[in-house]
Amino acid sequence: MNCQDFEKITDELAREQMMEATERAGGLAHAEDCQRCAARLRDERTLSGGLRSLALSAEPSEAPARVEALLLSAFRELNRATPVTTRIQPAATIIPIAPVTTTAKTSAPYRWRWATAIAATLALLFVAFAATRLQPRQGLQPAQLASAHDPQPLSVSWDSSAQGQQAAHHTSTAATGGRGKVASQYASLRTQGRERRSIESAGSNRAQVSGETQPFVNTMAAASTGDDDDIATDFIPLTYGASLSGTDGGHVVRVELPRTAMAQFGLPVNAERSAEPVKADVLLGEDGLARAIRFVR
Amino acid sequence: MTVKTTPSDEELLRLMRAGDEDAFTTLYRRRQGGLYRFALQMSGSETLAEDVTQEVFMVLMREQDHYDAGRGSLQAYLYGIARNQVLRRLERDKPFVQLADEAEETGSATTERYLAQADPLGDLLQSEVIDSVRQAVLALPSHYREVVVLCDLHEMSYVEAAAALSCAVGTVRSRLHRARALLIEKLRATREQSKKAEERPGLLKTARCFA
Repeated sequence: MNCQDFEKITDELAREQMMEATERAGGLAHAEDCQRCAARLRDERTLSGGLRSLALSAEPSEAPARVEALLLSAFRELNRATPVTTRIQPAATIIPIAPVTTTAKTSAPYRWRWATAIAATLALLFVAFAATRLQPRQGLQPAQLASAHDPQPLSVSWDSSAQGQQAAHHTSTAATGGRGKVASQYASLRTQGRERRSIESAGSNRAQVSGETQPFVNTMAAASTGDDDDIATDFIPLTYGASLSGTDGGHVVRVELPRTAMAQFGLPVNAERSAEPVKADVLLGEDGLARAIRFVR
Repeated sequence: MTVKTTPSDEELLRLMRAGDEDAFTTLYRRRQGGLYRFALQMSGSETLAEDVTQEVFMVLMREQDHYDAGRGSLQAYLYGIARNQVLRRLERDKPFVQLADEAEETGSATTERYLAQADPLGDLLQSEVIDSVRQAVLALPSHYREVVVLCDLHEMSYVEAAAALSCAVGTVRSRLHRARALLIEKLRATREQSKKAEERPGLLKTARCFA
């Protein structure tokens, strides 16, 4: 054994660790021959002795009793906060868990419950959808009835922004069955928003067509005479999400639109008559905004 | 004939998880001494050792599921927690440790400790050796200090120390070899300083006066 090999086992020799007997004997023999390695081993043994003494001197050292008391208190507090529900049982008293085969029997009712729940959800969705579709129609019935049988005059109003004037027209429609008819271009009604601006534009257009308001009223009154024979589509809502209940007030005005406007509401258009205008009833709310439209033949 | 076996650490932990207070007490009393001494020998502070011991068992209570028996014994796991706590505290209290080291460098603190702890009628030399070794251990870098404390002071095997320190056995072995070499150098230097001090009668006179 040389000094390099001795260096590797010095720790084990000094600490008296378990090692191979031949290796130990070789190391000790080398220390007898080499003064440097002998001094090294002596230092190591001195250190080991000192460390052993240090360990023995610290042997009685323990944590104070208050630490145990604190920890016990914390342990009780912790178990109180999270009560233990499953105490570990001795091996002899462990109860075997029921076989999993019972799951197959219990899973069938759960499946039926799921199916029933899905069916009920679908039915509810269908009812909700149908109610949404029917709501405008139901809302219009009273309005139609009111406009058809109400002896009170139906008032139609609009702004003529093109001329910078505000014109209000009232006409009595009691003799004509209570339905006002406006013979004018109302092409901008279906544009986005159907806001008051559209009505103003319509008023402006009407003013340009009729030239003055009085002939327009006369035209409307004349046109209202033969409306009992009209065939009309259902009202098509123009403002999405707006409520159209029957209790809301409103006015129905009849307008003429280019026939191509029907296509934009998803209605079929006769190509041969595309150049002819088509009559339509526009439902205006109390605020003057167009709420719905129906085409009349 | 009934053979009463002592429950293992792992068995006590299992019972402790189930809320068994006696199991917790048994486990604490079995392991607190070693953990306290480990923290004390690593830091030299009784206050820190007390805090660390408490924190180790608090961690064991709070994080009962963190222990993995496949990675080592519960003892090694507890020592690992203690080691992390000690290093964290030492890092946090670093300025105070440095002040203590400065005091040692001047020699006054060491002399006072020697004289205060020395029993004139007892084995003065033995006491000096122990204290010098203690100071030499405390002066080691932490990664060398911890292997010395575990392997030499707590007589752990390389494998156990490696499990506690979360490193390879070879790392423990090489660090211990290097640590012991550093300790020998430190103790030799201390011995030489003591010899020089004995040669100076003024300092020796002061020491005797304190004694």
